[in-house]
Amino acid sequence: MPHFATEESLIHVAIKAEPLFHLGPITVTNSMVGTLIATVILASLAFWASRNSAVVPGRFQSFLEFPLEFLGGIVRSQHPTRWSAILPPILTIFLLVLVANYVGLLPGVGTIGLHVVEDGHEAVVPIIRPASADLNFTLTLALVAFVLFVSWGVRANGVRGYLKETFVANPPYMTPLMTPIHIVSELSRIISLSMRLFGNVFAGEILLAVMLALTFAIVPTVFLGLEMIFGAVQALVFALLTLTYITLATAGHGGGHDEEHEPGEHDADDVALRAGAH
Amino acid sequence: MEALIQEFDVNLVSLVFQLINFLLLLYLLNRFLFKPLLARMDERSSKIEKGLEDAEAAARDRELARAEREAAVSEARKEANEMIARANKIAEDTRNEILTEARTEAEKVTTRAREEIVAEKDRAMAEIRGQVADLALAAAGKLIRHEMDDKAQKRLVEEFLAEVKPAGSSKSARS
Repeated sequence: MPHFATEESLIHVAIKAEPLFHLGPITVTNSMVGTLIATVILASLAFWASRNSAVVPGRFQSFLEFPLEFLGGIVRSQHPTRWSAILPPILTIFLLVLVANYVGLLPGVGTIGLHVVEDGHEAVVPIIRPASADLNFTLTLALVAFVLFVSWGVRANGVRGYLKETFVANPPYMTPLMTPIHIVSELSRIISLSMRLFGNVFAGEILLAVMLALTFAIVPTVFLGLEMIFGAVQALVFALLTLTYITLATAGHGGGHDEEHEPGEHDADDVALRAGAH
Repeated sequence: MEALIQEFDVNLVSLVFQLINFLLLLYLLNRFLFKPLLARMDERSSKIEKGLEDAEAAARDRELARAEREAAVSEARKEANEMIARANKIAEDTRNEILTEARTEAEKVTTRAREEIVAEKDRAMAEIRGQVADLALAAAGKLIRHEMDDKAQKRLVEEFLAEVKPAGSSKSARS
């Protein structure tokens, strides 16, 4: 476990989630606590919405409706017939990542901790670690995204169609060259999705910790504001990339599935391909 | 790879915990957040749509009512004008009729009066003629102082009257 502890301050940076206590065979880590806090916040919002939503929205309801309206519009425009099934997981990913990122910005998160002595070092293990700064969290979401776009591909093109799209290149003689690249690109999406989110949030945490230790007063506040923007952007990127992969999977990659295409979907494909290339 | 997993502490317990957490949250949010809010939003947009339609229909109705009202007013005005015109015509006709009648009546009355006057004059003339004969007789008798037989008397009177008559008639015509 790498420690960056200076004499004056305890900048505690651990690349992995740290165990807090053991519950039978399960090791409860501080990122699990962060995940649970995000879940509880979202669940209570949902509970509020189920009881207090009205046709004429109040301020809070409008605030809650904003992501639904925004992402709902995007999903609806790309999948006019399937949007109602695609939207909930996309929205859940977006909201969970967003809130998980913001949990990391709350005061006390990452700074209040348990004193432990490990390997002769005295260290503070934070009780709460933002969930997105744990690769387990981001990897799970990336796997969920992978399952989503593969299952939507199968659902849209059939098992044979999906396998053909994935493993047979167009033209067919290119298959030996293209298929390995294709498989790697499909699998690398898991790594790119999970690592991008983890890296951004983890780097943000380090940045905040370092700024808090090196400077004072207004400087960490500026970075806190930046982290709020990054947190929202990363949540949006994760959700939109998942949607893009689903769109690519349902649209198919080449010719031969034109009956599945709607006229507007070609444009969506182009946009999705360009977005997916990054 | 092994080292990487070790370094990031990717473990099955954490993955399963995160997966269960995600699925639970997916269920909760879908059931309690997305569905109610999407339903409300749909309801709202349909209500707004209906409101706009209603407003349009109301405007159309108002326009229709206005046109109807205007048509009724102009119709009433036209009818009133017609009525006045008819009334005027009737009054004129009646006046003319009354005048004509009055004129005819007046003429009739005048004619009759004239006739009556003529008759009265003739009668008076006859009467006067008789009296004049008697008077003349008496005067003549007194003047000549002699008797005459009735026959001679009569003849004398006839002669006199014959002389008088043209003078008398010319006199009456002058009056």
